[in-house]
Amino acid sequence: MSYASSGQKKEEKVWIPKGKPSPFHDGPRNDQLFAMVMALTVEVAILRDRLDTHERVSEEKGGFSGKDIEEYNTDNESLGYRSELRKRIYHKVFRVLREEAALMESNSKEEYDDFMESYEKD
Amino acid sequence: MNAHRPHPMMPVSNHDEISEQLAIVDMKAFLGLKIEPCQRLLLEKKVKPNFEAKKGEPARNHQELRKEMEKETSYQAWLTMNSVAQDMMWDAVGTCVDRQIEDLNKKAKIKNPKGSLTTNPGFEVPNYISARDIHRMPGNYHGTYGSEDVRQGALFDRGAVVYQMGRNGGYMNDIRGHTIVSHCFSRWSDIKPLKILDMGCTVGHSTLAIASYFPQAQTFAIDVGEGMLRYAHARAERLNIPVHFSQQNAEETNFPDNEFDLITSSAVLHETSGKALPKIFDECMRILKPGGVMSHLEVPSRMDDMDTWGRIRGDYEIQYNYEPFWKGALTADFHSLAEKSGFKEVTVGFQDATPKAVRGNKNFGGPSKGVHRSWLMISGVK
Repeated sequence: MSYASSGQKKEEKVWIPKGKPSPFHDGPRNDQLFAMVMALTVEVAILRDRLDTHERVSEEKGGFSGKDIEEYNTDNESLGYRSELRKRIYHKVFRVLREEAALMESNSKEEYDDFMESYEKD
Repeated sequence: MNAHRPHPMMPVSNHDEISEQLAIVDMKAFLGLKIEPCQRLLLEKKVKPNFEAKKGEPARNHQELRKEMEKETSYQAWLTMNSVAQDMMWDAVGTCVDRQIEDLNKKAKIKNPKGSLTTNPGFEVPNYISARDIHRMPGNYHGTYGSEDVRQGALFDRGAVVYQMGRNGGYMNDIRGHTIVSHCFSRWSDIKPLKILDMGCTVGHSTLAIASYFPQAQTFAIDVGEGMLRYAHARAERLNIPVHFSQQNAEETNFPDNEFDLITSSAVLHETSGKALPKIFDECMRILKPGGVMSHLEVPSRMDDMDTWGRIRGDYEIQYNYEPFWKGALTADFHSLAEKSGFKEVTVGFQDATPKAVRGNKNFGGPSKGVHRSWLMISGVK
C-alpha cells in the first residue's frame, strides 16, 4: 500500500447534497459525463503534483522513499508552480467550452455562423 | 505540509488531499475567470439579439432570457461544472475529514473549559435551513452523527478555506469578524461591550475575531447544529478564547430581556427567510440592553445594481447552490425592517473588509468595492 492511499477508509460513503439535481434538461447523462471528466481532471492534477514532488525530492536528495514524498515540505514557490500546471490542464481539457465565445469575440460573423451550423448538426 | 494549521481541531490533510483541494480551488477560479465570461458574451451577443429579433421587443425581465440561456449547451455546461466543482470540493474535504473523524471527535473533548457548550436534544431546525443542503454541503449546517460527533464543524472549517479561496482571512476565515468590529469602531469609536452575542456562529470564525477585541466581555454564540457547535466550542478552547455556545434559533432565544451590549451576525441573514428576518430583528431588540448595538454583516451585492447576467448568476445561487433566500436578502429593505423593530440610528451601507479593526476608522459609507472587498453592514441602536 502506498502512502497516498494508506490513510483511506476501505468503504467511503457517497455524500449527496439534499436539493434539486441536474441542470441539464435532457436528463442526468450529460451531468454525469461532466462530473466524470472533472473528477478525472482533478485526479490527473493530483498525480501531476505527486510527480512534481518526486522530481523535487529526487533532485534534492538523490534517491528517496514514499515517506520522503509524504513529508516533503511544499514551499510557496512550488505551490505557485503547481497552480500554473493545473491551469494548463484546465485550459486543455475544457478548451472546447470556450470555442463558441472565442468565435463571437473574433467578430467574424461568417466564421461564427459556420461554426454554429456545424455545432447544431452534431 | 501542515504548517497552515492554526489550531489542533483543523483536520490534517496529507500530500494528495492538499493537492486535490488546491486543484479544486484552481478549477473554481478557472470556471469563474474563463468560462463564466463566455456565458455573459453568449447572453449579450447571441441570446439577447435573437430574443429581440424573434419577439420584436426586449425581454421584460432576466428570467425570460435565462429560459433562453437554458437551451444553450454552453450555459448548461457552465451550470453543471459549477455545481459539480462545488460537490467535488465538499467530497474532497469530506474524505479528508472522514479519514480522521474518530481522532477529531476525541480532540473535541475539552477538560476544564473556559467557555461552555449547551446543546438542545429537542431542537427543531428551521425549515429554511433544513429544506436543502445550503451551499450543496452534504449534511448541511445541522447534520450530527452521534453524541460526540464534530463532522459538520470540521467539514465546514476546512471547506471554508477552500470555498473562500483564501479571500476571507486564510485558514482562520475571520475577515468578516474583523470587519464587523471595524464597522462598530467606525460608528461608535469608544464602544466597549461587556456582553456580546454572535448569531449563526457556525464554527466561530467571526465570533472569535469579535471576542478578541473585547477581552473584558463575556461572549455568547448560537447556531442550529449540535455537531457544528461541538466543534466550535473545541476550536475556541484550543485557541484559548472563552465563548459560551448554545444550540438556539435566532428568531426566539432563551436569553432574558435587556441582556446584551452588542449582537452580531456574519453572512447569516441571507440563509434565513422573509418571515424569519423581521423576527430576528425583533429578538435582537428584545435581548439588547437599552443603548445596545445590533450589527449584522451581509453579502455586498444588491439586486438593483445588477445587470442581466448578474441576475441570471444570482438565480444560479438560488436554484443550484441552494440559497433559497438569496434574492430575498439582496432585495430586502433592511433599513425599514430594523426601524420597524424599533431600532434608532439605523444605517445600511458598505464597510471595507479588513483583517484588523481600528477605532475611529472612516471605512464605512462609500460605494461597494466588490465581493470580499466590502461587506454590507446593517446596524442600529436600541
